[in-house]
Amino acid sequence: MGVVTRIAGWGALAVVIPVLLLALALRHPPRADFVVGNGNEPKSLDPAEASALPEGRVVRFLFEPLIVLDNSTLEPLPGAAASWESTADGLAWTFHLRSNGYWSDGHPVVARDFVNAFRRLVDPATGSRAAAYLLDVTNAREIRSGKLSADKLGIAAPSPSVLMMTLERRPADWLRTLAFPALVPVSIPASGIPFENGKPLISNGPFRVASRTPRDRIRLERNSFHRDASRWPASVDILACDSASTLLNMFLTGDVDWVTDIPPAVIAPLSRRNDGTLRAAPMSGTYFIRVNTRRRALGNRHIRAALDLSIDRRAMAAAALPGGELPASGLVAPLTDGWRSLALRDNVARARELLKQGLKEEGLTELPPLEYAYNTLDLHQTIAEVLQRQWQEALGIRVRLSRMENASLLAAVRSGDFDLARGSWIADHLDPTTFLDVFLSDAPNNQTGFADQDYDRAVKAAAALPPGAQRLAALALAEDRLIAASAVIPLYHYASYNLVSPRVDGFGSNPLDLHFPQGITKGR
Amino acid sequence: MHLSFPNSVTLLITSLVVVALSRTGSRLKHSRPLTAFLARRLAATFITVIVVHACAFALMRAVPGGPFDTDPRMDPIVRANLVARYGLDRPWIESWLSSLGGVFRADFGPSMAWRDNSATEILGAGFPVSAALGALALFFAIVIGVPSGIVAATQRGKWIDPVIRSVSSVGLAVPNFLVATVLISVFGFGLRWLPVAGFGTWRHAILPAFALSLPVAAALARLVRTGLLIELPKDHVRTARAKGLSPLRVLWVHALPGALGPAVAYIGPAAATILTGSLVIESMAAIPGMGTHFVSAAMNRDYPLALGAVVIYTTLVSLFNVFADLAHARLDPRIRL
Repeated sequence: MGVVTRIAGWGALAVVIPVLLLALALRHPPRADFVVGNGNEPKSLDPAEASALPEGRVVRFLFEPLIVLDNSTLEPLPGAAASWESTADGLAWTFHLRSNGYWSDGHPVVARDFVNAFRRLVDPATGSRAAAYLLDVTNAREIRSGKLSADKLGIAAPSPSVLMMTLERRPADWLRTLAFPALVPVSIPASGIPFENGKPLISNGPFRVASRTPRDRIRLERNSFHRDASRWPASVDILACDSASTLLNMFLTGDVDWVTDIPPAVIAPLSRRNDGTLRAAPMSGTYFIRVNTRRRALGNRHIRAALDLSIDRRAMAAAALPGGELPASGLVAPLTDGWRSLALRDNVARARELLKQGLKEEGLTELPPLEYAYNTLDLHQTIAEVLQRQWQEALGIRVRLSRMENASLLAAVRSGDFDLARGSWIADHLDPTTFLDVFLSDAPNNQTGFADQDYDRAVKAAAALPPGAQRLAALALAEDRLIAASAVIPLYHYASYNLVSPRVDGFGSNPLDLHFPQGITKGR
Repeated sequence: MHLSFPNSVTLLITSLVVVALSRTGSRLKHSRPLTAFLARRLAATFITVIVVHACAFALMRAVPGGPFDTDPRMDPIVRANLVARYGLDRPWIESWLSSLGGVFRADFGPSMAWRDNSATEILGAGFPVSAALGALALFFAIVIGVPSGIVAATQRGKWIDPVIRSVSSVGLAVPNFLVATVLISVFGFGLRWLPVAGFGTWRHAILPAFALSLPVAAALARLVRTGLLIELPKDHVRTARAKGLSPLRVLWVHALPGALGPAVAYIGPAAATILTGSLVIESMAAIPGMGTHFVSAAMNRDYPLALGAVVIYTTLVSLFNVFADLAHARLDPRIRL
């Protein structure tokens, strides 16, 4: 065989193999009419599993709860239910379903589908964390702890179009709670197992699943049986891409229409473009530090208060945050309906006095070195460095930074193996209790060792009051008690950032950063 | 006919092995039987996989935090149910044995992070994508790297040699993501020739494959150059030249086979790495490959998925080392298998 032929042979082989492999791996879906850069691959499309943001967004495209919310005002609007009424005490609710609600396979949505779904959520065997939203429904707690079976849940379908619920106590914001992505109906197939792998997913919302490629995209098509189908784009791609800068690139080249996660560094330049694509809005969420009160020095409330007051939150915001965030002196984000806004209490001189007093009480000459734990993310790193410097300058204390990946941090915090740890809470709904409940003595996410019976009583008593100014004032008093204890040190309230193509109408901005596809219409 | 993933890849790998073996077998007349070599190496691969699987399993379980610990809102009752459902409350040794048993049935178990799919389905969707991109990258690497090395060695002392050497040093030193960023800026945003991210057409594959290939190309160029510089002054090459053979024939038939040894030894494990994807490139270019799983599965404490990824990678590294040894033996008659 000649040399040239041999070279050519090897060359041909080298070309053929990659071409063959590429041909096998390449699929070429044309661009969908509306493309969402959704962050991580959704863990599951089963609404019972929809507890995180990427899952919630997909489930909202696929399923329709009883209530949807207005994308700008968060007012409850008819979803699968056309109308509803409740008793004066808010403990019994009746929902009248639409007569024209259909599943994506054409059969009608009936009240029974909601009964099945809610029982399934509460059933401990399902393992859904969304059950937490239904704990006020009659018997839900007993079902959760295995004392009663799921069919004893206080929800009934006296007729195909009427759904009745009874509650044991009045939840803070029940109608908005019913708009959660997990609280949607489920169509139970003949096999009795909904959302079985490999079976088509039946949904009652604006869209249905056309195809799904793991870690690439979920292609949705209009649910042609939905009453409003004609208002929406014919196809939607939900992209699974966890790199914010990649999604930004794709947005800038027009490959994506909605990006939910934007690299903090580009937020300022994007807002300077002033083309209306960047939607920034204050958000009901708070970034804070958990203080482990079981540690010797940190058990002293004066030392904790010194750590709290010595932080210069304005300087921190200027150094570390993209711009829309508010420095926080309270735990409850001020956007919660009718909530007060607190002035900053940062005061280095006072902090020094408190530290001196606290050390004296503990019989210490100086504070033992502390460790601040946070999870791996540039923003958390910058904030940790600012804190370290501010505490060093204001109080002369040394704080070691401990950077861990998220699962390790959560495990350390849960087992109480930390001094100071980064934490955050994003509101579920627009009631202050969503924040205040976190630090009740027996709340699983408290994790600070802070246990104050008076605080518990104050929160519970205030929460039970009828909605209004008096209730908010009582909740504010409870919050004052929590803040004075400095077991949780709030740093700032979040802002939400979305990049939205000008082709989209009705996107809206709201403190829960919720965007219901029911409100979004195709623009030009 | 549309082949599903396991069939198509198995078919491809089997045919490659058959071709490689038949050609190698015909050349290795004086060596010990090929089958004995293969049996030995496959047994070693088998043991390696078991050992690596055990180490990875132990490490994963030793790290604090479990798959259901990352959600601060999860009710403890729910967590207990999930832990029981996925068998995480069983003794370690029992879980390990059942996981290992699954490996040999190509069933890595249910993914704990992505509940709608099994770990096998997720890796089965990602591997062909990574493998395709990796094959293209490997093609680029060989097409760029080997000729560069040959040119650098044969043109030693001329201007081209230091240029190639410097470029290959840069290629080795500059990280992938920087190269990819520059490529995306120039070809995606500047010239608008190629898409900035995504996967689905050949145009999507060019930039990421090129970025992936550069360090391998650079390493190959250096290895081929060094190999040739050692080989060219040898007696048999001088004799070939003295016989009046054409320079191309001297190079290809007499010098290159001996010179390619180090490059071939390098390319085996490099191929395994490149075919299983790259976290950085996949993340930057939004490519649904399997490179991401090596990191994200560990982060999510998705034990089945992480172990599956490790097992696939280990198997590929072992197999490609076998291929590299076979190729080496074919190139150099002194090597005995």
